[in-house]
Amino acid sequence: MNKVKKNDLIFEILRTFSAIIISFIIAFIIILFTSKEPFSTIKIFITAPFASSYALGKILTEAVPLLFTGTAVCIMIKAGQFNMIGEGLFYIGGLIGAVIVINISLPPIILPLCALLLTFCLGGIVGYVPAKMKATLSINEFVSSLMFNFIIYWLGLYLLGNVFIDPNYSDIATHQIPAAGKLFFLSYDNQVSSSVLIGLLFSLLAWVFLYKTKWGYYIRMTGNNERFAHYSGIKTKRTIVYAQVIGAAICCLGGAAYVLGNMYRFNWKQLPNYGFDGFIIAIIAHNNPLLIPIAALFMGYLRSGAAEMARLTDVTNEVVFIIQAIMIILIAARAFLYQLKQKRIRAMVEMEIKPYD
Amino acid sequence: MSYFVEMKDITKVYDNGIIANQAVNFSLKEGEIHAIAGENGAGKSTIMKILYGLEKPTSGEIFIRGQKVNITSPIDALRYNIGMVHQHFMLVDNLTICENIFLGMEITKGLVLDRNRMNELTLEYAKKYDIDVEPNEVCRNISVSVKQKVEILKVLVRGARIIILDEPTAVLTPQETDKFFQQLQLLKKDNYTIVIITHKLNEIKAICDRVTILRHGKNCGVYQVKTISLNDISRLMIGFDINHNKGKASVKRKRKILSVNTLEIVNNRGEKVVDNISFDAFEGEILCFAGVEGNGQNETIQCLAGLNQNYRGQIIINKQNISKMSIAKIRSLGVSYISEDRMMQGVNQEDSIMDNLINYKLNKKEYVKAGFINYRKLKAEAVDLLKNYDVKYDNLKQPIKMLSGGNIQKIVIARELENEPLVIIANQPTRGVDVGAIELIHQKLINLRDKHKLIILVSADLNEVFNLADRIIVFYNGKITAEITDVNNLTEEELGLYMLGLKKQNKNGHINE
Repeated sequence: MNKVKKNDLIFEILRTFSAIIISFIIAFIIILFTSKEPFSTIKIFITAPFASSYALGKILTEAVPLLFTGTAVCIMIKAGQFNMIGEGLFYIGGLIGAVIVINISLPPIILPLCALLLTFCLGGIVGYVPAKMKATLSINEFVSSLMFNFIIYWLGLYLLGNVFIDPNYSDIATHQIPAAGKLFFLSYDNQVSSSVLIGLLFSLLAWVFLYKTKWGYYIRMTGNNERFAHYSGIKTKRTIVYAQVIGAAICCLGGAAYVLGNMYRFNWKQLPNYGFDGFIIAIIAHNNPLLIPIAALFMGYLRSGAAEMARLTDVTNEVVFIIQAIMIILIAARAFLYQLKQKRIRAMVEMEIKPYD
Repeated sequence: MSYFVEMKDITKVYDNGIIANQAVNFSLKEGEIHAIAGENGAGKSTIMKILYGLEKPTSGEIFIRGQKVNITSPIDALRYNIGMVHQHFMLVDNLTICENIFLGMEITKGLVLDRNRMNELTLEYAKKYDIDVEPNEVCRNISVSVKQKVEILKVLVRGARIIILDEPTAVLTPQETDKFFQQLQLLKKDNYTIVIITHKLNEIKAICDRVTILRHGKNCGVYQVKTISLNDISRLMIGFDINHNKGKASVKRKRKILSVNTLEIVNNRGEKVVDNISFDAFEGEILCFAGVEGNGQNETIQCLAGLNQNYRGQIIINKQNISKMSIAKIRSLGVSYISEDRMMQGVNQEDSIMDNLINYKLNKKEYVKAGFINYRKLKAEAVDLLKNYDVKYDNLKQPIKMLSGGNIQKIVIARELENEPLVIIANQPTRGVDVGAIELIHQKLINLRDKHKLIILVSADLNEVFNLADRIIVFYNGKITAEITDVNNLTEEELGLYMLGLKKQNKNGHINE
């Protein structure tokens, strides 16, 4: 049996890698058609993220939002909830985080941490509404959270344009984030901020929460088999509420961490899409918080390569979105490599049978 | 002589690595009733599912009338005149009997259904084989035994000449079983070939011509039923002799633990499924709820365990009214519940053995500190517990679904009995597990009874009822129609009459027929 399990693991890994390689091949074919110098373009796409310390930093920076939203999605999916509210909350978390540090004066480090704490609470409070609606009124969280995103986004945009706008700046943006409010840079050269550490910390904490605490246990049982959870005396409604509240809170805090760590003003006029990306990351990571950093870094690498490619060649970075989409389809496809896996299992079992005959 | 159907060297390895069949040979003669006997997990169902095209064999060949065939779906199987009636019936509840029978092969007159013709055909077949059905009745309202008849008609109408029946008598009372066997004889007379998958030995003896015995996925021989004794079949199936006699300890009734007063349950279709029942139960007894499935036993159980709180009346456990209590609170009173739906409710298939053992323990301070689970302590306890219940596993982290049904059920039982609860509700505790596991589970239940616990047993297996029960209450149509305290002098036939509602006790214990 153990062998079968190991076999499972090998094939999960193999499957993910094959999916990545196939999606790259398809991407290259697309590049072949859209670029005048396809081979140098491909080279830049693959190697540019490692070419300079700035580009390397870019990988980390691109991964930051995904660490938070991916982790949040993990927790919610573990409870069986497909809640999209992370998208709106990441946006509003960024705005409110910036507003807090602009308007409150506290010593450095304490100020941004205070902003993170407040946005965490804000996210939890907002996230409670669709979660509670799901638990008591059975309103599908997928639909209600999508609608909530609109409310949050337009409210945020209204606040940005009318209340928190810096009239002396050339763009619609908040005032500049004061030095005391910044999450410090780990390296000024490549602008890698301590926000990445906070992101990693949350992935780790999420894992500990899910696998080492009783609340995490309740979430996993409820998500995998609600009937079993109910039968076991677990309050399943309460569980799906707090799982979504925690997920929402992490997304909102993530927005603040990203803005305070990696931006100088809050100036988003559109939803940044990081909340939805969280689902992609969670799928690649098989909903395991410990794999979220790997998935997020990989996605960061792809985006960094795409950005470099867009900067240095004649191919635009739209191509990376095509790659992403193909990759996810392949990774999510369960039948992929299934035949091969069956053959391996059969061969193994047959070897086990033989000595008895 | 040539066989009607021949399966040669069939091997089936499931995705999870379980070997269900290993080089099994199986053959059918035209017009015989053939039994496939074996314990649960011996691979009986699998070999028939392969013949019916539901499972693909890993290797092996199938011949029909000497021709090699490739059966990849039930539609293929029907093309070769093979039909199967599953253990769990596959009928559309909202349709009538006739609609179910002709589902997918409706007879039409122009663009509209020719209901009259379909009704006629249904009745024609039914009459021929002495099957009593009303074509226009909606399937939701019919009893299990009628459902089974509908399934058989479905197969007949579709032109099957070989009918595979998977545990056909599991849901029938003794009387219904007799009638069912007569119908099978009629089919046999018309040269239908019938395969019965079963582990009930007396049925093999009663009706079958030949028997193929499987053990651990291997063929242990094909025998003429006339020439082989029950003991021999039993030994071939199990591999060793087992002792059927469990002997009841006579424990005197003492303290009343459970009291149910005027319980009334209405289901979500507005039907009164439990109608004003009352009973008491005492420490140190195994109280059995007997009845054909669907007569209110399950609904009553759900209320006792707190899974359904939508009822009228009172349930008092250990002097406390549980009607407003949460499931966790009811459990903390010392109530444990072995669910009949092992895979969907009793365990969480995807998660580890460990996760499936600790679900009740996390309320307790000794296992959780500041929210963190003390896995070290839980692991030590789990290892001891599983050893005590003789569970075969590799490590506690493997997903529970990798284990066999018997081992999974042992884990469920181990978990539910671990703290020696005051009230144990055991709903079909040994359904679908092998004989070794049944022995162990019965022994554990008896031990707890002897420790003055109350055990409420619901079982469709009458052998189990007779083996274990100290007292039986019979459910019929949502009412308690009999209470039997002298189980030793009860016959299967008499219990069957009560279960079918043909015989009733009135309030004073007198019998009305």
